Amino acid sequence: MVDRISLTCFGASYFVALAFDCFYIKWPLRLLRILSLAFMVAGLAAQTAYLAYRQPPLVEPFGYFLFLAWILAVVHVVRVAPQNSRTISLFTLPLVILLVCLAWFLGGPSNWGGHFLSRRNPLVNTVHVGGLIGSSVTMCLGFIASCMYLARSWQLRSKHIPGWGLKLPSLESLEAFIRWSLAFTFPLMTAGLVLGVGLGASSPEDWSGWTNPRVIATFALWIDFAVLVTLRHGLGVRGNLLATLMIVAFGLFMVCAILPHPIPPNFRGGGGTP
Amino acid sequence: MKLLTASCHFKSTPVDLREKIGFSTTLLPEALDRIGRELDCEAVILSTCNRVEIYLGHADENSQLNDDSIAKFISGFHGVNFEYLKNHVITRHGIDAARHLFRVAGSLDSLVLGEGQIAGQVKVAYETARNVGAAGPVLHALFQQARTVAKRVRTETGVAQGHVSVSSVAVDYVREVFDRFDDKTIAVFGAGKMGELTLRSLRDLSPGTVLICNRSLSKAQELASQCGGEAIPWDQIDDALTRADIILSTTGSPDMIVDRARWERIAMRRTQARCIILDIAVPRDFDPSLHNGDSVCLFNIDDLQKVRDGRLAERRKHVPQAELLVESEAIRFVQQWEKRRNNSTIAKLTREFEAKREAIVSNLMTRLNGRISPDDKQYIAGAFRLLQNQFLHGPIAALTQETTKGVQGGHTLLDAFRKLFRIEDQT
Repeated sequence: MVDRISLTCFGASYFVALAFDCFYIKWPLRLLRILSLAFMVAGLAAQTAYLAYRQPPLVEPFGYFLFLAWILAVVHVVRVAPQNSRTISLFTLPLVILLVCLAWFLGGPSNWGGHFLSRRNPLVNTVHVGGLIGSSVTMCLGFIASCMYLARSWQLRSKHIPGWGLKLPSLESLEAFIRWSLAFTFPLMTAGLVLGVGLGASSPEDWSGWTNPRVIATFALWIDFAVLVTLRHGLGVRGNLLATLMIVAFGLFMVCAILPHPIPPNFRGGGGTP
Repeated sequence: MKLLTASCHFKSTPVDLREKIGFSTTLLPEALDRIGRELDCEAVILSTCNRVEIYLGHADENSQLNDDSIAKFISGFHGVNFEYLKNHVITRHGIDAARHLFRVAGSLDSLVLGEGQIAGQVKVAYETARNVGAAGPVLHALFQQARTVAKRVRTETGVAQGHVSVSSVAVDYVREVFDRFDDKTIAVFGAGKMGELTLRSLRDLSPGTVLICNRSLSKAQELASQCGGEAIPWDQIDDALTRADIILSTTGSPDMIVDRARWERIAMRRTQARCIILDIAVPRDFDPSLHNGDSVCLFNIDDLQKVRDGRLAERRKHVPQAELLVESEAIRFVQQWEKRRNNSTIAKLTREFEAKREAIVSNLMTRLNGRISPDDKQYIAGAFRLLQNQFLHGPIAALTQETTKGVQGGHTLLDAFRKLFRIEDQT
């Protein structure tokens, strides 16, 4: 039974949950909320079973994106779904669906990384991957908050009627969330990177070198975040600019995660095991 | 049941007449007492700044209440010319009266559509009447249902959605920018009436500090003492602007107080991430180009009034739905009242038939005693009960059916029913 679960199952479930949330914003019927939550939980259960059964390696983009999507789906079910306002769903669920789609799109084994990590100290590996996954999660949450910040700011700039349209948190709380995200992402990413470099340096025979596109992109991302932290804490950058820079950083993160994995010529899709 | 209402509201009655015929809280008990004595009926008086309405009820359909009786009472009580008053009084009967009250309680008949005060005023009017013994079963049932209707209109339709006063719209904007207020500073420029009202709404947010800045320091001190704020001399306005998170400006200054250049100088000194400026002064005190929806959110009186108008227009879209709800509730009220009256008649008829049947069966059993078995006795008693039920089923079903169809036929049939079966009026 579990082996028949595919990415389409939970991807479609999340999509239907998003559709119900969209309908709920237009027609706030309790039934729509319940249906949305039901599809979300069903999707999450299916994804949990899929991850537990297939156990895709986290060092490969397929497993990485799926695991990231799973964490965000858990956050959504625990924190967002119980709220009356479904507007936040419009920001979290598309990202979850996007990550599942990316996993489906990039479905296939990677030639990079996994073989040397597997031979090293599992604790260091865990901290390395955990640091990068943790920073990815906080970066995704910061990205969601940044999008909401810009949307709220646009509402205020256009002097919309309060209470109409998307019901978003206040500018103050969204900016606090972006700051929180930045404060967690940078140290986690630094820890993950330092350990990754250490692991690579300790096995030079397997180390593909500093010119590897993923290595370059990851360092570029780290520098971007270092600049972002400096701008925030050193120069006191706030508001729309901070939110925009956070979105740019997230874009770079996505590029970084996708770069080494061009579409394979025999690409068929379907989300099989890598 | 006889139900009658006389209404003098802002649409039909000029304000000078409304002022004369209003019932203050001190006059109400006396007025209710006099209506009860003079017209021999239940009464509730709803007297607000926009309307004076008297609701009369009597359990007897043939009561002598008529349109003129209320106008005569008001004219006599307040010493107003009867003929003049009569032209402005709108009277309604039966279901129309019930529908009118439900519309009033649901705020469909208010000056500001969907305002929340009227439901409370209706409740207070009924409670006053009940306390002095002027409200009886008819008006009790009517006003109880009016409360339910008001609640349903507010919760099930969009007639009452969103705030529509300028000060509450201002607070709505503030809430879109800030979450917590205990660490925020409100700076008020000017000490006018409008500013005072808006400040009252803002103070409900429990801000950390309130700064009052006015050209007249004594006025600023007066307002500051009222709201627990801090008075700032006018020449220190830049300091107040530097400290403030929420700025409320209501001065009567003919010139703009803060232009872009001045604000940029102030912004250099500010440590807060953003501020919201509520510029409700005319002419405006702040340069509108300061608004960027991020670090400075500036809303002037036109913006706030536009929101108010938008919300009222949105409320109006929900009126048809609310009217349908009111109509169905008015029909339900009349049907339930008829049903209640019919039920008492039916209950009495059934009781009388039960008694007669039991007497006949008892006589029969005495005569047949010893000649039939207990099973036969039970069969005969059951047969008589069946006969009674079948005999009464037709008339009772017809009466119930008439009640659910409408009130007109119900009365005729009920009267015929009472005459045919010789039932005394129970209501």
